[in-house]
Amino acid sequence: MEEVVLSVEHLFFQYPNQPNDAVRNVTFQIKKGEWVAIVGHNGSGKSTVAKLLMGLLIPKSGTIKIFDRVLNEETIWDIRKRMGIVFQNPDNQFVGTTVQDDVAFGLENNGVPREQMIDRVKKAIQQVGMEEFLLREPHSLSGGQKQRVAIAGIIALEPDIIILDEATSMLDPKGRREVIEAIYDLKVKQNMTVISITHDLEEVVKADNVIVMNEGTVMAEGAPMQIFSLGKKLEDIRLDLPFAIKLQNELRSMGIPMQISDASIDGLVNELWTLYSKM
Amino acid sequence: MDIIFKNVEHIYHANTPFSQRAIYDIELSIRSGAYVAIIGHTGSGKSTLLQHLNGLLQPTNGTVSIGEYTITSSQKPRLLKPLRQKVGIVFQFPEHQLFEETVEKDICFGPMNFGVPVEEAKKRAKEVLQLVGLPEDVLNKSPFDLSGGQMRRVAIAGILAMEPDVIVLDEPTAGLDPKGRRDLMEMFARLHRERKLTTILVTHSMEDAAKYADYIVVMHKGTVWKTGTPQQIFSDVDALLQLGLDVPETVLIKRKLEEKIGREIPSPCLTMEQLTKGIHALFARVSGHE
Repeated sequence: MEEVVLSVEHLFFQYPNQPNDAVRNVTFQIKKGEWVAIVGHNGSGKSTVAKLLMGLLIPKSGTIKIFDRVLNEETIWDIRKRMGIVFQNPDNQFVGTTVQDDVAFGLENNGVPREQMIDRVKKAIQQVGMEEFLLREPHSLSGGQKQRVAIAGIIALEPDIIILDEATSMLDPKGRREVIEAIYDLKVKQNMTVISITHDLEEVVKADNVIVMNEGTVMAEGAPMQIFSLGKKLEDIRLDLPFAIKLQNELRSMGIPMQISDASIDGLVNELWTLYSKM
Repeated sequence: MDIIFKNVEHIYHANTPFSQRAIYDIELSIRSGAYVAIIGHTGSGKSTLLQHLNGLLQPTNGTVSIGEYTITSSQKPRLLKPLRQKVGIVFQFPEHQLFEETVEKDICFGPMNFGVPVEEAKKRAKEVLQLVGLPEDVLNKSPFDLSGGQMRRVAIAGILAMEPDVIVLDEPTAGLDPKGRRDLMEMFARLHRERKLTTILVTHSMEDAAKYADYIVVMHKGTVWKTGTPQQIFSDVDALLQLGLDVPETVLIKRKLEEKIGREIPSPCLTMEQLTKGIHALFARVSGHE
């Protein structure tokens, strides 16, 4: 986990005709194989940061280095080949007439030989749990299914860095978990670096590092439990704690001595059980 | 306006090689003034079902009655126009449908399409803006200069300005941050209370369904699997999990805890408050014994 694959230094960005900078003096580093969550409310600047990382916007000042190369107009095309982006709404991204054709599109563009392609398409579709739908028209799928196909299209390309720009926000809870599991699997097995832009703190639990954005700046950075310990400060910036943490805070205020060291429901139940048995 | 579905079926691309049955055997009645949540796994037919509520889709079989309107497969779509004023559908990401130069014009568009005079439409625009919690000075702004959450409120105001009797919400909070989500759900609860709007919420959030609805419809693989009060629906945790649905986190914790300690928490635990009280009582009882 040592090699730095992405670093951002003193990044500033301002949208045209806006009085203030949307991104102000943002600095952070992401190491290879890390899962980093960038969280913040609507309008906190997190999506702007994502667009800057993808080279869709050009910073006013500051530098972005990806794989040790400064991101600029010359390097962008090489760098983009190694990055996969999954957007929030996949509706506008479909090109194939069937699910498998759509997933194959990126591979075709990259000139992957057909034998390999068949295998990779199949594998990617399996990873998002859409194998029943290989020959379906993407447009006949529901929103959540479409998003899983879009994600398959990205993971088929086997990028080094995958950016999820609120990619699960339109999925149902089960679909969300499946996608997160699939991406977590890729991270573990292929040492892929994951940057997930989200305002869902439940999704953050699995991250190695969390960057909290507010009003264009980095408000806090740290491991998930460290971030959750900010408590009310997160609610003040329109975010919400994971349910298990909120419940533990509540129970503690009622006199039940919870440790608050685990954001999972199973961890919470186990702790309550231990406390109960000791009484 | 009571809503009654009788034996409703919808097949997309009927009589073609691409035909696909999205919903079937739908039996459903929603009384006027109710707050109903429709839950179900992605692809269970929720969206198809809701498009029958104002005649955007007509059943390929069966009948849908909404107040005095009856929709069947042979109905002429033209005759359904007045129904669309009565039933407002807020689709997912409704802000994508904004198009006018100013917020006021956008809100007035719907009512004026139904023949409301411009003065009256403007009056309504002011009223509904207040209902959705936006200041009056946004009326003359371009909707595209507003934040995402504000744009969504403008889109919803445009629906409310038609003064519908029924409002259908398809995942209304998708993509909003937690605070925006809470605010919007509270706003709909208030509208339901104060305006007696029949409210139909399609949601993946079991917490919202448990908290706001007085009645829940569970869809599974294209048909109605079960209907009941939140308490009834969420009492059968195993069945819901088997369908690939979630239960509210409070209910899940209650159950896991009961399994571990072998004792029942005598509360439905549909809200955080009920759950913390239940757990607290459990601990108090034990320590009281010793």
